[in-house]
Amino acid sequence: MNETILTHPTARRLRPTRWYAPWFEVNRARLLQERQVMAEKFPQFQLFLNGEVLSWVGDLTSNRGNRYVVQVVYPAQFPYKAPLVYPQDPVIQVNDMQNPGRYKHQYPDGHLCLYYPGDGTFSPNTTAASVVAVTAAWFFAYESWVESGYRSWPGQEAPEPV
Amino acid sequence: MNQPPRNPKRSLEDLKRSLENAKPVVVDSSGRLSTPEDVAARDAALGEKERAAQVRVKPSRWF
Repeated sequence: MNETILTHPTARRLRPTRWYAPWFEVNRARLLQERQVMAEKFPQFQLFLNGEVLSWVGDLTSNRGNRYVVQVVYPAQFPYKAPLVYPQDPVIQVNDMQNPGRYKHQYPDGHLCLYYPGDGTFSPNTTAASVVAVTAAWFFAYESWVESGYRSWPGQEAPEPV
Repeated sequence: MNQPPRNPKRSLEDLKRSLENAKPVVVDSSGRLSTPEDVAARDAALGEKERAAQVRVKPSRWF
């Protein structure tokens, strides 16, 4: 039976097909837009590809003079899901003093909580450059929180710890 | 949403490891990703083509 299928002339023409293409192959116009805004706003960031995971890596310097290396990872669902930001150097763990064992403005895998889900901060039009800008604001808030003796986080906070 | 934290250092190590295997890429004008080596090879090939085109130009007699 198998032999019949394999020797059939049509079977020979069949090629293995990839049924899924990552967003940056499907939506090249969007990739060009991402490149343009990142080159314009954050030229120190470099683009990396590992398999189908595309990310920017670069550093941000806070107004207090501290340098943070971050990796901005495009999720597979981009642009319907916002890029995720992982602080790489230094490693940051924002332990919530009111809820021991939990993080404040940070997800369990270490990526930063940059917005309250569903509040409309991010939309499919939001680029990685906007995410990096919000990340800079996050570091400002983080440093203020450290300076306050881990007591107060400037700005609005979600009612539930994430 | 309110989950106990996993070890962020471990996930960051995974990320760093994946970054070590990651290739730096550039986006060309058509929106395709290519490595800097590909771009250099393409430029070199283009240069060769231009040189070959120059060779094909017949010498002119200016007098």
